[in-house]
Amino acid sequence: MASHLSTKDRLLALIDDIELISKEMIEVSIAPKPQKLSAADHASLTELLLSKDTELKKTLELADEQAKIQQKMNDLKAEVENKDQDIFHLQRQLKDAEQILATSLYQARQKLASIVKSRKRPVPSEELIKFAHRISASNAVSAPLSWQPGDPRRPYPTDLEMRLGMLGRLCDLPLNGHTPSTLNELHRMTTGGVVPASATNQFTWHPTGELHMSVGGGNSVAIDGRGKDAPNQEDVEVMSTDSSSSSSSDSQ
Amino acid sequence: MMENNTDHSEQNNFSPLTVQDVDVDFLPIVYEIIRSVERDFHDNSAKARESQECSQRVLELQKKFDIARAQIKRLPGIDFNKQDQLKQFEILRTQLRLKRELLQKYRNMCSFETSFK
Repeated sequence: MASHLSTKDRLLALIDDIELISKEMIEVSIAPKPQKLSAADHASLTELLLSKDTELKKTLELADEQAKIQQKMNDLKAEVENKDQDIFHLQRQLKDAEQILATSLYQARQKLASIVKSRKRPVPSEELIKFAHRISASNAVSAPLSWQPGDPRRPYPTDLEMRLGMLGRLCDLPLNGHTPSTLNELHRMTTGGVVPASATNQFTWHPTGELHMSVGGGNSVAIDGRGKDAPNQEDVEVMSTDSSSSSSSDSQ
Repeated sequence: MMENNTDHSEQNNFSPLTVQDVDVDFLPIVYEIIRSVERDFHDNSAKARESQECSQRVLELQKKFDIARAQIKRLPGIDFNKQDQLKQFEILRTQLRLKRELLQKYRNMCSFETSFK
C-alpha cells in the first residue's frame, strides 16, 4: 500500500477491495457448475479476503493511534492559540510603554535643551529683582495703594496715551491719505510723534538701552528706566509685594 | 440504496467517531451468504425461504459496507498518513516552544537599567 495515501483513503480502498472480493465470491458461488472456480482459486480468493480483512483491522488500529495524536494536536493547537493571545497582549502593552517612554524622552530632551540654554546665558536673580522693581515703579502692573481718582499713575494707559499710541494713530492714517506700506514705516510714524509729559512717567521701550534682559525666545529687549521719577521710588516696595489687582478701585 | 445511505450518513458527518464505533465485521455475513447458497435443500419452500434470506443478507452486507464507509469518513485525524501527521505534530510543538520562548523573552525584557537613582 502506497504510504503517501492518507489513512482515510487507505481504509476506504480496503473496504472497496473487501466489497469487491466478497461480491466476486458470492457471484461465483451462485454461478452454474461449469463457471465455478477451482478449489485453489477459491482458496486464494478466500485468502485474499482474509488478508484484506486483517489489513483493514491493522489500519483501523493505526487510525486509532492517529486519533490519539490528533487529540494531542488539538490540545497543542489550543495552547498555541492561548500563547498567541498572550503574545498579542504583551506586544500591545510593550507598544504602549514605548509610546509613553518616547513621549517622556522627548519632553526630557526639551527640558535638557532649555537647561543647557539657560546655563549658557544665566540671569542673576539680582537683575531679575531689579527688573521687577522697575516694572512696579512705573505702575505697569498695578496702581499704587494710595491711588485716588485723577492720579495718572495706573497700570493701563490713559485716553491721551491710547490716542498717541500705534492703535490711535492707525485711525488717523486714512485721513492723512498716507498708508504705511511696511511695519517699519508704521513704527517710525508712531514712535516719531511727540511724547507727552505724562508719558515720561511710563515705562518706555527703546531699541538701545541701559539694560538688556533675555526674554523667552532669546530676544534681547532694551529696557530704559530713565522715565522713573524720584517720588515713585517710595512706592516700589509696596508695588513689588502687591499681588491684588487695583483695577476694581478705578472708577474713572 | 447506496446513495440514500451516504446521504443519511452525511447528516451527522460532523460528530467525531472513535475507531471502536466502526463496524467492519463483514466476514461473518459473507460466510453466511456463501454457506446458504451452497446448502442443498430437499423441498422447494425451504429453498425459496433460504434464497430470500440470502438476498436479505446480501442487502445487509451492502448496507454494512456503506455504513462503514460513512463511519470512516467521520474518524478524526486520518486525513493524512501517520508520517505527515507526526510531521505536523512536530511543527506544532516547535511553534509552541518558539512562542513560549518569545513570551519569556518579552517578560525578561522589562528589567530596565536604572543607573540614576
